[in-house]
Amino acid sequence: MKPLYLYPLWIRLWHWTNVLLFIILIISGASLHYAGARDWLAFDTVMLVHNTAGIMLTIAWLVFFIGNFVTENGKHYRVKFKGMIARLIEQSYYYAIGIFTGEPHPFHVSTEMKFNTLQQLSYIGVMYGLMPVLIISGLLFLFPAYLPDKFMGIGSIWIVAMTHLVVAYLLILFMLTHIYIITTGETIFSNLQAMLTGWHKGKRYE
Amino acid sequence: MKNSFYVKITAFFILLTALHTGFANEIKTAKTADCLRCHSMETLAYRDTVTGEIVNLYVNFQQYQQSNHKHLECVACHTADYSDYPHSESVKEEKLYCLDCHQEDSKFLPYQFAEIEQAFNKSVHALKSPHELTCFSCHDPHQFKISRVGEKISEIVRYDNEICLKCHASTLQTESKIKNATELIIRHEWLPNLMLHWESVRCVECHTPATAGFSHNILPAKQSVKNCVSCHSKEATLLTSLYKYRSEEDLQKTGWFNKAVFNKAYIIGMSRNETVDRWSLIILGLTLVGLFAHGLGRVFTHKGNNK
Repeated sequence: MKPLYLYPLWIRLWHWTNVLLFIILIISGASLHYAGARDWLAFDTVMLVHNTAGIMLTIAWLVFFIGNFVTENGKHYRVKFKGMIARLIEQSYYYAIGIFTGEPHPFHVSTEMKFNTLQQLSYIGVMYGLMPVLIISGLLFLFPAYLPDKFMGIGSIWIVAMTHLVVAYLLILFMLTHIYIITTGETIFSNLQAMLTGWHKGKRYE
Repeated sequence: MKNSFYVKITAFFILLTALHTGFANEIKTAKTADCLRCHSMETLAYRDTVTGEIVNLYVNFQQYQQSNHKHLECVACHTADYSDYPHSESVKEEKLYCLDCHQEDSKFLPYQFAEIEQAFNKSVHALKSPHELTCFSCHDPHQFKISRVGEKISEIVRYDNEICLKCHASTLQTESKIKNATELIIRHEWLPNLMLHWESVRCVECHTPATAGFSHNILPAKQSVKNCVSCHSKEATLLTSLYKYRSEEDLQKTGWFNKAVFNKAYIIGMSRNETVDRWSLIILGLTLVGLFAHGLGRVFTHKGNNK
């Protein structure tokens, strides 16, 4: 089978922009979060960097959201519920056992569906669940004047802070897993290469 | 001639009565008025022959009238023999002690004077200068006013900080203590937004142990709070002790601290929560270990599968 062109330029640019912004936001976010009396990064500067990168990530997310409507990329995010549980079990079994015993990958990439079900659900969870929550809580941080002082008896800014924090931790968790999982392709670097060139190569799917 | 004398005498008494009535509106007793005749003079002072320091004997009557002790006559506390003018040397020996009054009376129980004394005895003030510093070093009984719920926080902060700054930012250089404003600033350089902190937070919030109520145990500089998070995060002790000046009702209505502090987009430690941080880092760590183990497993089984 010929190599598949899975990642158009805009997706690749969007992806690597996210990578860069994630790194900047994690470093600056951790620096703000764990700020103390003596910091190796100046609080005011880091705050500016974090806010700016956060706004850029919001724009990147909008590009993704709109892009999925106006291009055919959105189809990869449409869940096929029929047989979903079975596919999830199959995929989980592969990662837990099959991958060690040399069993073939249960999912075959195609231009119609580039994600396996486990992958698809995680990406949907991240892009349509966690990311909007992260962005909204981040924006509320920037405009706290529009918040009520208290929400259900608790300082509302504290709720925003905790939401932003927990979602940020979850996204770091996603990122770590994501970086590892992409090494489970044809070769360790084949998925990485595909996100760089756009082309997915593999004899397994021939 | 005789008539003229009586007229003068009568006029004098009328004038005296008028003056006295006016004065009596402000001063309740003749004794206090007697004292204030001299002690309301701003320049009333003497130089101590032993220490060489100027001892100020002036009492600001206006401030006294606004103080918690305004209903007390001078002689209620000053019980030595003040009948001679100038007063005899022996009055210098008079020892005044807050707890003489404040311990016995049950109405002072809520103010916990006994606990205050215990805490003060543990403080750096008492330990380093056991005889020099007393209650009066910080609290001038002639103008002492307890902070009240509902008062403007910035006013309370200013009033209380002035007590500390009276000695700690004085231009008088004495021995090894911090005695001037410049050194005070240098010592607090680590604190971001220094002036904002000094205008909004009392010195004692960081320089006393973190308890829900106020402690008179002033800590040595090294033991004072230097961790942003201990004030800036939720349920922090500073918030609790600042909040105590506000009634619950007031808090619910305005949430001033939210407005004053959180209105600035982000402040240090606002997102900190020990439980969330601890568990998140444990989960992230375990994930990394898990992924690493999975990777190792793949390497080993890959070799095995290829054989």
